[in-house]
Amino acid sequence: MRGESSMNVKKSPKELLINNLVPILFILICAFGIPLSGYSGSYLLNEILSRLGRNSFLVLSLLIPVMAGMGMNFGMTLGAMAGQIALILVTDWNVVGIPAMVLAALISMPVSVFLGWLCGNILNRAKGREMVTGYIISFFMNGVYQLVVLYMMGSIIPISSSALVLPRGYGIRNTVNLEGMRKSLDNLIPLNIFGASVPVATFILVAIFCLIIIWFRRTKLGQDMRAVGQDMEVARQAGIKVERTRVLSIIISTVFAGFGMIIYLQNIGTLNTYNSHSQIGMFSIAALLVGGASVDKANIRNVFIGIILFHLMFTIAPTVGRNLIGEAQLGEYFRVFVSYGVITLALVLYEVRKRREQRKALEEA
Amino acid sequence: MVLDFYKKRSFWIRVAVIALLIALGVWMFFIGKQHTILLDNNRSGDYRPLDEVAVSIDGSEPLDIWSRMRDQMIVTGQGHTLTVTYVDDNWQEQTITRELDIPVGEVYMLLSLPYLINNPDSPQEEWLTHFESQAVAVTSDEGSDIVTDETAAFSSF
Repeated sequence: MRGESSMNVKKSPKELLINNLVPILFILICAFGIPLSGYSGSYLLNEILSRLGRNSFLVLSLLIPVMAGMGMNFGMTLGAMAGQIALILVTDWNVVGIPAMVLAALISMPVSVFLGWLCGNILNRAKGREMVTGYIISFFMNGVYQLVVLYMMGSIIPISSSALVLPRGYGIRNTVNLEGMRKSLDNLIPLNIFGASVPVATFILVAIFCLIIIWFRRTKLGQDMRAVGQDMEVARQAGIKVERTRVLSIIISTVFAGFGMIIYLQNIGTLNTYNSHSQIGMFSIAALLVGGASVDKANIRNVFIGIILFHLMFTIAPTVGRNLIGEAQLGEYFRVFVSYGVITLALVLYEVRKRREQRKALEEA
Repeated sequence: MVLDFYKKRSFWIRVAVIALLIALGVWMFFIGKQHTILLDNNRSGDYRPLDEVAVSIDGSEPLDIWSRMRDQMIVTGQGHTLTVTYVDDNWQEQTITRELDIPVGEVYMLLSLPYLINNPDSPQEEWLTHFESQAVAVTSDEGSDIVTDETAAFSSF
């Protein structure tokens, strides 16, 4: 969000190239990979539309902490866990369709608020190291999630469905079938374009979320977040409750990540109880960075460019790997390696840029 | 001073929003709850099964239930319209239409077609009863292998 005004300042081609290195790299990978994959245009369009629908909400949830200067919220995994717990409960209660999604969203909300509050307070004690702290918190909370799902569900938390509970009588099975709500949002308003099905209702929801983000930036809280993101000390002196604002940004992000996870899983139709959430933060962050965002600057445009490029690579990589080397598994490894690589590259570039700006400021002084 | 929070307007707005969200959740639970109705064409007391009965719920495609057969229909929500069509002893086609009100806590309900056809005006509780599904006999540990390896999600992403 921050730094949009600096877009008007003319930049040299070299600077533009460095600033957009990650998206350019991805455009090149996709331009090279698409002909090699042999996929038809309509197949790729279908895949991209489907992936845009299921991932946008998750990636958009990352924008608010960036606005508050807290970097990429690796703690969004906590929201994903809340969403999954809600989905398990709703599946056990035999609630289906859109009501199941709404109910799951409502159940996930207090859990997400609590986890977001916890995460935000911890991050306030680790200022300047929010991302790595968030990442470690998500690992820690993963353990708590496993304790709840593997030991408490079925024993302390009543779960009656034998399709969900492990044969031993407590704990949830490895996979939960979400057949009752599979694509219930995506297919709510059916539309086909060039043989590709468009998840219209999901896109409407995403558009509403985009509008909320735009509106939120103009609110008092949004302005406070931007002020905190630019300079915490200046914001504090201006009377803004910095810690509270930062906690709120993480809570909002976690709640929306929970909603995003529900939308994501209704599209997939199956919940991998113990690992669906584990990589969601990393992939969402990687997608946002591929779209040209950085740790301190991200906008809605980055979200959509990122999802398109990142998921185009994700779709074609296994086939390209198979066609080039005869090993589909290589493509699988490639996309995982690229996900981590993109985050590393974006973090390094951010640090290089920050140091260059500091050096320039020193020279000017 | 500490107990003055309830005098603030914002407090009551928050309470109202939370109450609204809870009410929305309860409503969603009611309208989204799925029930399985077992359509039973077996002997029920003194009532013999019919040769063929066509059953439709909420105008769905009729389901033919033959003598001594049982089939199922899955419905969402509590209020439904049941339509049963059969041929009587005089070879006349008869249709019974009844309103169903399924208790929210029920997952499986057994609908006795011979009883309903012979007592079309009887209360719902007499021909639509609770059905306890038999526990799933677990013969293997299928699905019990817990995979907590985080990289396992890569392939499904």
